[in-house]
Amino acid sequence: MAADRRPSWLKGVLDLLVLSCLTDGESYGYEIAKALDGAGLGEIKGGTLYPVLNRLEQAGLVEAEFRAAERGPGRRYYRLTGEGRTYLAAESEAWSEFHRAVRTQLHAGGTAP
Amino acid sequence: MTTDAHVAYFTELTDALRAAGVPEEQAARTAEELRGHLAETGTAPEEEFGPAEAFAASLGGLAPAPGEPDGAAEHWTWTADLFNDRRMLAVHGAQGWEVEGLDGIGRFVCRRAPGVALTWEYRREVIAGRRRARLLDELTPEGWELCGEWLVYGYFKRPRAATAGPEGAVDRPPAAPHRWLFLSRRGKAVLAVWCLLVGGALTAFFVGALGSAGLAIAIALTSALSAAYTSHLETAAGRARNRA
Repeated sequence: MAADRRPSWLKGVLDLLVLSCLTDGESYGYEIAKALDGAGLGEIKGGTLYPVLNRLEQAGLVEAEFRAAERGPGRRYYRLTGEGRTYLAAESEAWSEFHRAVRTQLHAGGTAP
Repeated sequence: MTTDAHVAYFTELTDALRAAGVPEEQAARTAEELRGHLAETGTAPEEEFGPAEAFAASLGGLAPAPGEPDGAAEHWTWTADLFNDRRMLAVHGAQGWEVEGLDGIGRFVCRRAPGVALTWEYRREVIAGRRRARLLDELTPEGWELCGEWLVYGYFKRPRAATAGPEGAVDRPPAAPHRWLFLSRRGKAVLAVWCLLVGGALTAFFVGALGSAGLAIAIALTSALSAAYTSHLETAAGRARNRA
C-alpha cells in the first residue's frame, strides 16, 4: 500500500490553514485542530500545531492572549492581525496557482480527475 | 486528568524551554495552554506532542519553517589552496557537503542536509571571458550548477544522484570537521615564501627603509605574484594531466 502523503503535503500549507481558521474570529489550539480535522485534513497533533502557532505569532501574523479559566487550565486565544490577513490572501492565491498547476499536470499525465 | 507522567513531561518541557532562553512567564503559560489542550483531547502528552525536549526546541522558534526539510541543516565553512581544492571538494562532497557559495575571502560555505544527505561532485573550470557562456551552455544540461567564483575560476556542483541514483546518498555522514584550512605541500611553500617576503617588507618598514606606500605596494605585489605563480603552476599541472 502506498504511504500516506498527506502529512508531507500539509507541511507546506499548514500555516495557511491555521490562519484560515481565524478569519471569522479568534480561536484556540484545540478548536483549530478540531476545525482542521472537521474539514477533512486529518488529525493535527499538538506537537505539530503549537510550533506553527508560535511561528505565526513571532512573525506578527497572529496575536495571542492568554485567558485564565475559572476551572481547569487557561486557554490562549489567537487572533489574525492585519498583516496576517494580507499574508493569508497573498499566499492562498499562490497556493491555488500551484494547486492548479499540479492538477493540470496530473490530468495531462492520464490520471482521472 | 493529571498524572505523574504529565507532571514529569511538563517539568521536562518547561526546563527545556527555560534552557532555550524562553522567559519564565512565557514557559509557564505555554505549559498551561498545552495542559488545556490535553484536557480536551484526553491524550497523553508524549502521544500528543512528542518527546518533551524536541517539542520544546520546536516551540522555542527552532522548528523548521513550513516547506523546509525537518531538522536543522549543518553548516561548515572551509578553504584550501588551488592545488588542493578539487581533491578536498571531492572528499567533502562524498561526505554530503554542498557548497552554497564562496564568501568574500574565498572560503567554501557549505551546508549538509539532515538525515540522509546527498553526495556532491564538483569541478573547477576557468570561466574568464568568453569561456563562461560556452561552459555554462555545455555543463548546465549535464546537471552542473555554478556554485562559486574565485579569480578566474568557477566552481560547479552536481548531486551525485544525478548520475548514480539513490546510491548517491550518504546514510551516516561523519561529523563536521573541526579543521577549516586544507593546504597542500606546494600551497604551504607558496605561503611560506609570501610570509617571508611580507615579513621582509615589514622589517624594512619598521627600520625606516620603506615608507607606508612602499610597504603597501610590496605586500600587494607579493600577493599578486604569488597568486599568479600558484595559478601558473596549477594551469601547467592541468595541461600535463590533460596530455596524460
